[in-house]
Amino acid sequence: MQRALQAAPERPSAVETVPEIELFCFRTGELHFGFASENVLEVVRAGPLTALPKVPTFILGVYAHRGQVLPVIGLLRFLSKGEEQIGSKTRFVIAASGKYVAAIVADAVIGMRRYPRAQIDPIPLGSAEVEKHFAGVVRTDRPGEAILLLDAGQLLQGARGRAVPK
Amino acid sequence: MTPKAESSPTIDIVLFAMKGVSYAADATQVVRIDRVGAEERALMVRGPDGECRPIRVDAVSGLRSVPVASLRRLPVALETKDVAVGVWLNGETPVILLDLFQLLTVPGGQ
Repeated sequence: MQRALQAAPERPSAVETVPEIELFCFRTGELHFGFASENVLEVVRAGPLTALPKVPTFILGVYAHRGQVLPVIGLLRFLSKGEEQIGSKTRFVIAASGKYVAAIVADAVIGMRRYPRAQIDPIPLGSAEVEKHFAGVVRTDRPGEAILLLDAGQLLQGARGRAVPK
Repeated sequence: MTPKAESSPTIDIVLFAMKGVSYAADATQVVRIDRVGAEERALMVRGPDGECRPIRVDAVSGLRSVPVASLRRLPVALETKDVAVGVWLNGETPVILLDLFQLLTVPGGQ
């Protein structure tokens, strides 16, 4: 056994390691989105919104969460893919990247899922303005389902850039 | 003898509605409240030239003394030197705080 242990590697070989990414997945409208799990702080039931004057329509308002005031972002409006409706089943995904924290509107929570990084494809060609907010698209085993992997940093900074023109 | 609990600092705000939305503002910015027409009110604010100018509102809900601790800055993603300067948390409901001096400079703000 001593000989076997001396020949044994300290860590698994690259072939045995399947790098995976853990995503928090949710649906808004007909689109499925995912954030890297480390960017999601929690999910809460949608609460009362207060509208803000002079902000783009994708900022649905602000929401008080545990004494912190957060902007509420509608991804469909942000991506010009429709309009969110806030209802009793709506959830807010509290997402963070660096100093930016926001509540993202979700129609339904899919949950945590793990995918091999090899299943992440580049986002199909679109406008560069939209593309930069995504880290890729995840091919799932379910027919017709694709999860748009959001880049939390780019999304939240991009939202700020559009909400607060220089 | 127990020490007297220090009362938390407060600030006076004026509550009003514009276009159906409730707002608040620092009460020290308001010189007086005038009636405009049959139903509307106007917050009279002294402009940079010393003249009192009206900011028309749908209704004035009143003055309130609120704890400074219930005030919040706008989220980082929305921070801007604009008319909205912060938020007053009325329980769990955020009420936007407007800078009336800034509002005077906005076309249509008066």
